[in-house]
Amino acid sequence: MKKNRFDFLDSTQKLDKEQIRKSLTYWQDVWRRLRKNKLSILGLIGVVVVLLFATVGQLINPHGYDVQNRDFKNVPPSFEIYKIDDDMYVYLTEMYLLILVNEDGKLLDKFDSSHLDGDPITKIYNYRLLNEADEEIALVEIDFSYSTDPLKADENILYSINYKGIEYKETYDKVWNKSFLLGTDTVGRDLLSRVMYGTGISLTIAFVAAFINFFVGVLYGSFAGFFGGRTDNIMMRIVDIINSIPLLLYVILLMVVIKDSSFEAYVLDPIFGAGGLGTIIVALISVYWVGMARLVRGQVLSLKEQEYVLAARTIGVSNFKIVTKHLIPNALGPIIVTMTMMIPAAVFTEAFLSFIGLGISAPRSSLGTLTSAGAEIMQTYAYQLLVPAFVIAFMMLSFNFLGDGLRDALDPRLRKG
Amino acid sequence: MNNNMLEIKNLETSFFTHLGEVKAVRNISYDLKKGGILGVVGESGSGKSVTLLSVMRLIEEPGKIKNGEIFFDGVDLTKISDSEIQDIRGSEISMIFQDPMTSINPVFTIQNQMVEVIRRHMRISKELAIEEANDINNINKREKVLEDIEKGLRRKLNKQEALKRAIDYLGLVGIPEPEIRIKQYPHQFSGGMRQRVLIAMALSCEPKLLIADEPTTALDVTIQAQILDLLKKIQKELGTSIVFITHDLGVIAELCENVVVMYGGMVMEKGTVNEIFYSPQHPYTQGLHQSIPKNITGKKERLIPIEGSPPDLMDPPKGCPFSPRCKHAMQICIEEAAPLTKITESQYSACWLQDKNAPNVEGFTKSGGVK
Amino acid sequence: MYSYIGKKIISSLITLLIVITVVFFMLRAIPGGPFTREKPLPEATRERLEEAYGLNEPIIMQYFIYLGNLAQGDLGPSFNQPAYTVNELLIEGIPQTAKIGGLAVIFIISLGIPLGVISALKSNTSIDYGVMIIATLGITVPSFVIGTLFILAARDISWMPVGGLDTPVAFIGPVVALSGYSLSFVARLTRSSMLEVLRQDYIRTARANGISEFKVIFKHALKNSLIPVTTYIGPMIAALMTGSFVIEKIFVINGIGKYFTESVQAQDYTLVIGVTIFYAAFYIFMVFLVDILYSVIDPRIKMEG
Repeated sequence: MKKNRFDFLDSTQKLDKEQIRKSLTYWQDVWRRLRKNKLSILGLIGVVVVLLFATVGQLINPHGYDVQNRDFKNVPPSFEIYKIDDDMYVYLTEMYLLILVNEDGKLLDKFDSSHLDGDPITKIYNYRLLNEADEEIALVEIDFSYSTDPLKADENILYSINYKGIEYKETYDKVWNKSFLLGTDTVGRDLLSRVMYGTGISLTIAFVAAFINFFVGVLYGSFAGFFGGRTDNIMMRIVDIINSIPLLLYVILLMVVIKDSSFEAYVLDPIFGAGGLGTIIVALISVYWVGMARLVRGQVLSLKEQEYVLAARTIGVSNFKIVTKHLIPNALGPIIVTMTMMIPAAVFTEAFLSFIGLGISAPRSSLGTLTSAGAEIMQTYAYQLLVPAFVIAFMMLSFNFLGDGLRDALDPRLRKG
Repeated sequence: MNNNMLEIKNLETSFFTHLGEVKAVRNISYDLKKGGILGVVGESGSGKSVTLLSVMRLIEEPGKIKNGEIFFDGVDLTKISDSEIQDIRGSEISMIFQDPMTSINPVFTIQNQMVEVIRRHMRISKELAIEEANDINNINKREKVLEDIEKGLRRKLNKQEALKRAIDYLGLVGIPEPEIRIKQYPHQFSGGMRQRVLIAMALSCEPKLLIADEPTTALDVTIQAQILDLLKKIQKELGTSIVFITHDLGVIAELCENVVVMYGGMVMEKGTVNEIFYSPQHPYTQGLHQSIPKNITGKKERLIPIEGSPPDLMDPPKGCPFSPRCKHAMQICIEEAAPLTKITESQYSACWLQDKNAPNVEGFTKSGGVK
Repeated sequence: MYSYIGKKIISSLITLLIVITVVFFMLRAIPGGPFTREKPLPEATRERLEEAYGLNEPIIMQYFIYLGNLAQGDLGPSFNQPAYTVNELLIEGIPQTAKIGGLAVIFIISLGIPLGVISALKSNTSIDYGVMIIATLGITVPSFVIGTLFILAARDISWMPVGGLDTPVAFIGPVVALSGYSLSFVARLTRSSMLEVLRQDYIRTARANGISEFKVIFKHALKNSLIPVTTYIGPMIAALMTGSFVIEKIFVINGIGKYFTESVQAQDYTLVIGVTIFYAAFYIFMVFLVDILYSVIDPRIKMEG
């Protein structure tokens, strides 16, 4: 036995000289790396959720984004109700409108208080529930003296509700708004519908702008980078001049120039619909392509010197083929990452423009106009700010995580790890 | 009295990556005489650099010295504190690296970086210190200073002294007009000149040991020869012991007295330069010889590459790391790593063919020098 | 060195002239003038006004007249607030904007860089994760959201004013909201660049030469890792400048940003052009300074131009 150990091995007995790993294509490898990065998968899921929210969400939601429910203005997502009779529940809004609701929080009807019949001394006001023929079917009196009368101050309530001679001081329950899940805005439009619609508009602006930027930037950049020399010099000088003041300034100026012009009226609105959607897109793409152009040019310049391009040239491959078959696919990684980052940047810019009063006009909404409108009344109706602000933040976060993950996954320098 | 500058004993260094432990150095022992030049050869991933980075205690996370002792001038470097090893680095042991283009900080002048190192370690000479002390008028104070000097406490060099020393060393390594060049930034130097700067920086505090990690690999052949000549001159004139890491046997032949051959994180063979070159006893060393071009005899010779590729250190072969590529592989080779077997007074080889039970193969000597 | 600076100055001036020209003609391309808005003015009044403001001249003449006045530092009268000149409005607005902008820059540099360094040195610990989560939020949550949420939160805090800049405390909201993005960006950039630099060979050389860990990090690594941070300063100024548009609106600050947004909506030509020129000139000047700073930090940048 001991002797056998010193027998020579024949070639079949030898260990594998090389362990061959399964080889992956570039995109398989990218996907494998992306999957390993938990944050970027979260980002990807977030992006999908936002896309579904804006598309499928709008189809499922029963309310139209532009339908004004004048009876139910500024109703929040949750509110406190009083039980004043069997099967009779009411909710007094921040605007002192009395709304008839059911126990679950479904909004049923609005009490009429238009005649303002009440006593300014005792501070008792009448709210009447009318049927279709304008006949009174119920009368509710609300006693607001609790908020002003010092003798009643220790009750620590603002008002009490009186119905059929009984005074109700305590709320019955806090319920979720079942008619409008996220409440309504100042003219009674369903906020959820508006946010879904606004997300869609914001995404439309972002995607259209990002894609056009992509084409313009790639074309311009690869042209400049590939031809180099004087062409490159002049083309990049133009980019430099555009870049020499903050891009947002141009966007704002362009918005001012295009808004209400005949260009908007006869060209943009027929394509993108009314409300200035086209104007924002045009303003965004007139300026933001320069970033992409710079990036592509840099990539092309460095790739141009690579041996395989030289090899392709020596065997007489045409310029067009070199650009499309060799340069663009190899520069694709950073381009995709920039695209991913361009989408949240465009959403952000759109919101920013809305915030300074250059957004798209009602009844259409975008996340920016919604946030901006919500900010005006946030002291009273914070939910109208928080909901669109949350969606913007969620969207930005998702796209950024995805973009970060893609950058790591696509970066060829890290591919060996 | 120990005559060794450096003694590495049973060193094991591993990197604990998230994929598992990479055993970069597996139980390595070798040593270097005072004033000697030792060559360490091996291909990339053989553990030759990691061994010496372990000596410098420059192994970074997630790497760790798992086991073993490293005696430098009698002190075990694995046992001392971080601040003690920092004091030794650059002053007693210096290291120069493979790529001079990236090894000097690009945003500081050469002067800034050299003066920093010199002022970090160097103290003025004893003679100068005594001279300065004698200028002190206050007797008590003078006595105290002289006492300190006897205890080895001397002041550090001031900026002018450090600058002068830096210029001297730039001159020593052959940089023309050192007093002008020292004010420049690294990017104003060529690769060869930068390596000279790094050598000057490494030598500027008179280290006893210089570790050179492939210092010529990134350089042109003519520059390589100049750097090698410079290292030889330094060893002769300053008496610095040198460990020279390389994958180039030609460089070893030109420079070194003793050679260690490493493979797969282990020592395969060690001996004097003559033994390794004219009577290699390990199949890997022999393979290395056949794979490098030489034109000694003038005859046409076919180069024979070593087939296969180096072992995966995450999951190294159980036995001899070279066994999968070895043309003399035996059953035992894949089961158990061979011990270093003494062949002559200075030559050791880790191959089972040296075992007394092994079959006789031409070109291999059994242990104890029995042919 | 000097010829480099000279060349830079000349190219900056040319760029500025192009910007002025483009902005001037762009605004003149707007259909209708400042006096043809919702409520049409009587024909005679309009003509008189247009004459007073030189709008009856051919457009090319208007351009040269404007350039001539500009060369003397005169930006003309405001169309919508005829009692003021654009210069007066700028002088009134600039200090407010400069205060929050300047504080924001100090805040960003003095907090962003240390946070990035700490994050890099403690990489993959809970400190690092904490800093990076906050930094990611800072980059992704828009400044106007931060600003409005701040006001929403501050309404219940009695000592926290929600508008104006009358007390030192009042600066907290605008400065935090304005610097949120850039601060997070600087922290992230410093971290990644520090991690990159710490892997470099020259750091190993410094360690091999016995340089203390403190000096390795704060001398050798920091200066190198600040190079990419310096390149970000240009875009950062742009972000702060345009960011102040909304911040000033949210926090009711009478700064230059507020004038800009108001004038844009009111089509106040001279004010829009005036503010844009001011912004462009300031920005170009800052980028010029950053270029110089950059070449001081990184000796490899050629100054020969």
